[in-house]
Amino acid sequence: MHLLLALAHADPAPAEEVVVRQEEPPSSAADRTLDRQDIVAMPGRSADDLLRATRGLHQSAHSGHGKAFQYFLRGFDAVHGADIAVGLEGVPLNEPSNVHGHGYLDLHFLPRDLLLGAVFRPGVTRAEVGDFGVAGSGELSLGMATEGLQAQVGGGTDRSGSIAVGFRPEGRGTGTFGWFDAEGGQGVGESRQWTQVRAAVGLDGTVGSTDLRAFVLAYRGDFASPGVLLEDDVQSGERRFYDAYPNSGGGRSSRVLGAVRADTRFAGWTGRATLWAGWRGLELRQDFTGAYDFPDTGDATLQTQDGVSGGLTTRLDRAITPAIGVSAGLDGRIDVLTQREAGIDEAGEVWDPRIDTDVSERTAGVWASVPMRPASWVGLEAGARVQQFSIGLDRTLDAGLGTGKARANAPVFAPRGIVRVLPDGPVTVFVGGGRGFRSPEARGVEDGRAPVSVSSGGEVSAVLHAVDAFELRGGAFGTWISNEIVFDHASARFLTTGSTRRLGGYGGITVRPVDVVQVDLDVTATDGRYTAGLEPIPYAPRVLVVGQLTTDALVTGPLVWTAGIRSWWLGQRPLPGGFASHAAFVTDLTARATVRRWMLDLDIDNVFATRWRDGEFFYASDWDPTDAPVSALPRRHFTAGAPFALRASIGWRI
Amino acid sequence: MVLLLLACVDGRDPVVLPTTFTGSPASFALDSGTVTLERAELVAADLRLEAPPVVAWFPSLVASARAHPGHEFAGSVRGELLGEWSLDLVGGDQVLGAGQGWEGDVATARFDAHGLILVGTWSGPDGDVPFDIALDVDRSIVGIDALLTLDASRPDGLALGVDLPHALGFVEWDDTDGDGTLTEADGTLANTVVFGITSSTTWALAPASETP
Repeated sequence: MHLLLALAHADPAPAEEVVVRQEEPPSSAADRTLDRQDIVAMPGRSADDLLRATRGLHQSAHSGHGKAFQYFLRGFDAVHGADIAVGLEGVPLNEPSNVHGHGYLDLHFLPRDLLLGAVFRPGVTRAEVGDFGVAGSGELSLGMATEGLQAQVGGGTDRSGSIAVGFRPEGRGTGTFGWFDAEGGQGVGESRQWTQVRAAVGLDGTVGSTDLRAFVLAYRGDFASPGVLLEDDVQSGERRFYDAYPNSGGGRSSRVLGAVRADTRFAGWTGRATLWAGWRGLELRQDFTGAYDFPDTGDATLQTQDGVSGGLTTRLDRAITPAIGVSAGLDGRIDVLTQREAGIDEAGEVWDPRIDTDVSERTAGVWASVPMRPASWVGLEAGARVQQFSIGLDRTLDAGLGTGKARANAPVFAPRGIVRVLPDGPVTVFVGGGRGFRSPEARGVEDGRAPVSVSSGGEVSAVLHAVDAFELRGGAFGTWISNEIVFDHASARFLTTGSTRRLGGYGGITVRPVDVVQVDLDVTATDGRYTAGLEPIPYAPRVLVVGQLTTDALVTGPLVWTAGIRSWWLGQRPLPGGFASHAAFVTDLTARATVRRWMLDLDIDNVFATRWRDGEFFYASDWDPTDAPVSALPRRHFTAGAPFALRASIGWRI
Repeated sequence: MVLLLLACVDGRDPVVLPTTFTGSPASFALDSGTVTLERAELVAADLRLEAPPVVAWFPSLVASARAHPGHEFAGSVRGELLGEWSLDLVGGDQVLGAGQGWEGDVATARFDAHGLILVGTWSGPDGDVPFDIALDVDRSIVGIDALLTLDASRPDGLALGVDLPHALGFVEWDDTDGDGTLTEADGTLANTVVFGITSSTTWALAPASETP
């Protein structure tokens, strides 16, 4: 299944291998496939940062280094992952009904050095994409690219330090490894300290015609959160840009995830089955309004979650004739969660317990797809997914709204399809469409049938790739949701907020002016609105421009260079209440130099040290309880974007 | 061009709101008699302008609320002038101060009413009766008509006005204790005074440029 290409390398030191997966054909011109080399050359410190490679995706960090990012894609405010389905080696990573956000997608538990590749697909046109596949999907592959022992130690101007040790036995596949890393720091500014510890082991091998692999990942992260600042306080000099209000929050995140996967071939079929299980602990403290709602105690809340999950994903593929194939899969998962939410005072003591809930979710889905090649100039892929959610809720306390148990069912049917015209030609045209869906959030269900958020989308795009050194791509897309369904925390009920539509387009160019240098420029524009009244969908980016220059492993004598610089410009975003955000422009850089057994890494966040506002929000707050009366006027709050920081590390490989 | 149009989002600019209060005439006729005020004062606080109702997309397209910045409702308050004033309800123009707000439409206004003092004479069919009323109103007056648009490019002030003939038209001027003076202790007088003074239609807020 894998083709291992070792880089040409004069040095006897272990070479980093580029793992090229047997790629499935793209769904649209916006699909993006990364190999290990692309990942090394992409700026960013964590696995989460890698999601920025998704064309049209913007992500925002509003609560410290350790909490899941907030994701925005094609006019969707996917919050912490509600509309983007991401998997790791077939294991779904989104957390349904997480106490902090449905579909919570936190990749901090993944060592970035163990990511071998990724595929990101905006839009949903493939039958295999499951829950949370509304705006797009992604899949990550795991393994250690380098044989032997490697150790790395580093530090940064953000008062950070890191250490990493990894080992892959000589002659074994990328799936056999042991890994440990730890990092921590104070960060730039107030209330930004963090620590993260990760460990991972993997094993792969072959038994007969079956490839087997297993891995276990373990993670613990502790972090402080600077929260928000009032723009007025910064403008008046009362607070500095990277300050934080007292008790701004923080959290603790733990995760253990293990999986066993088998890839086999029999009677013309290829099959894959992945059995996985995991434990998750999460604790978040946050206060974004000061003491506005509760002048005596403050508005801080504590959210905790403790849960176990497990599931199975399977897939079968077969070519029936040279022109027709079939792919099908069955998957299911079980989640058992305990969640609490409470108001806490300045000392962190609970004074107002609000939610104490046990959740059990059972999900099963089946999908099938028929790839066809009726003529050499056209390829088709027609498929569908059927999913059934069974969600149980044992709500012992919920903001005084009563107690009780409930179990709800939620079926959904999602047809999807892709047409590829001239799939092997210099210009390939894609036409795709389908339904995406998001399961109901457990805390809102009642007995009976629960509503599933369903989107209908379509896309037309084209790629011109007449020569290897040049690619031009572009497309137009639309997504319609007949009735947006949201879970209203205050009432613990689902609310319908009317129909929406998102229309947009994108364009991009990739140029390789010389063999080892690649320049990418991508522009995505989306106009997302409520169809009644045409109010813009708040927070969703309207224009995102991303430029990136990367090098392949450039060999100059004993020195092997890899570097990448990435800039993005985000246009103004509409905010609730008719307000608007600022535009932002940020540049990040990464570089790696390898000399014999030594490796030097350099990462610079925010190269031009711009003071940019990552998130902007308008609402009333009260950060000085001695102030009276309290203003009810909505005021601009912001979360400070990543400051300038330079981190360097030195590594050694045996 | 399309990109530029999409990338530029109209927001709201801040506006400054110099605000004045203008009282009613001190003497006026009602259906049942004539009121002559020697003193009429209301302690008022925290004037707020409220925007028209928005479409029901709140709390936004999110799966959980509150524990997340931005999930808080931006709020209906479009402008406010915080503070406490003793309004001379029969006086001339009184400067309340300069409030802050955001551009956009305003539908209603509200403020908090506290102590009320009314001193004067009620001239009814049975002759003149003095009144001396002191009340702790202690409630918000909401829904005050304030159909106006705040526009940073056309700065304008706000004028709050009171219609005392309307407010005191609800009052039952009945000296139930027969002591020769109408006070808050007389029958329903206190209730009807509070009802009238807190009636949303007793008050009006308008652009200063449109107020004579």
